[in-house]
Amino acid sequence: MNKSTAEEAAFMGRITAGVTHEMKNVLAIIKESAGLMEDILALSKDRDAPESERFTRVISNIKQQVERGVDLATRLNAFAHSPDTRPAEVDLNILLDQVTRLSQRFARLKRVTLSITPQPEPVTLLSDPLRLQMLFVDCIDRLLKMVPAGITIHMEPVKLGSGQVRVTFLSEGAQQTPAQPTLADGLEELLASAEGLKGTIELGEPPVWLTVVFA
Amino acid sequence: MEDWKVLLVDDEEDFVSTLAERLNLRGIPTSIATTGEDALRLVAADAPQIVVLDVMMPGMSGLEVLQRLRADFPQIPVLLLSGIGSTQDTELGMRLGAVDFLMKPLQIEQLIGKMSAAVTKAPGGVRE
Repeated sequence: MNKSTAEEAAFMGRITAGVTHEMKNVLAIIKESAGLMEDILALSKDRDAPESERFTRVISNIKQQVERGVDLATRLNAFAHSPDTRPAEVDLNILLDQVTRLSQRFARLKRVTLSITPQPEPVTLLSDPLRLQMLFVDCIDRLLKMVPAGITIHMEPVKLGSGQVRVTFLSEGAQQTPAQPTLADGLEELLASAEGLKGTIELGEPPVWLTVVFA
Repeated sequence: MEDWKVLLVDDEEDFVSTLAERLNLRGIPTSIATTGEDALRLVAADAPQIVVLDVMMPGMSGLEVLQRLRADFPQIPVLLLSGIGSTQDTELGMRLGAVDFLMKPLQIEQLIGKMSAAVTKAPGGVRE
């Protein structure tokens, strides 16, 4: 990444991180306001009135959406800090979880579910966190164009011997043969662009579509 | 807990006033400050049993307020409110003598639990 691109990424990250902090303040106010409504309702003489149940349901929805918003803001904040330190030691359990959650919308539009099978131990890699996320999001994007609706794409990071790390993308229920040139095109290049990172992309037959091995 | 007085300090006025109202409804007398300077004035005028303090505030920062409280009112425990982006400040705050911290948005029961533990452990702590 050249200096000007790195500066642009750092600028985007700094602004996004600041905004996510403000978003969490907004969500904290909404949460406390919903909590106060709940408290007032609990103290109300009419708490057995039919409207009471509806209010309780609405308050519960608000609180659930606040939790969802907090989770998204937290992950967006972590993403925004990706350009801060490069290279950095990255735990792929955490990074893939973050990528998965931030890509949920793209998957939902295709009616595909994304999931990760984390390992009990950290699966660490010294790499460029931003480039790694670009690589994984690109892998997800390509698979979303190829897999049928209604399936789940699983990602699994595994620590191999001799310092290698493998990430497998597989989907149960997929019948299509992968259009390999489309799937592979440009991914090797993207992998090679990650600072201090060496690896290979291996294509497979469904359900195992793609394996990335970091040397 | 009726024996306590809590001071909530956060520059987000809607947040702090709503939270104070919820604590007051639970029988915990709570006052608020939206700047570090106001917080120090309120503590000097009528010392609370605990201060709940946002780490990141404009003007006098939460950490500056914490240092002043530790120097002038060492008997008052300080609980920090932390958010994303303030992890390092929160860690520093814990080293400077805060008793504990909570991430925003918070769970009110968790806040009350942590305040209760801190007040009970404080020198001359109030029993619930």
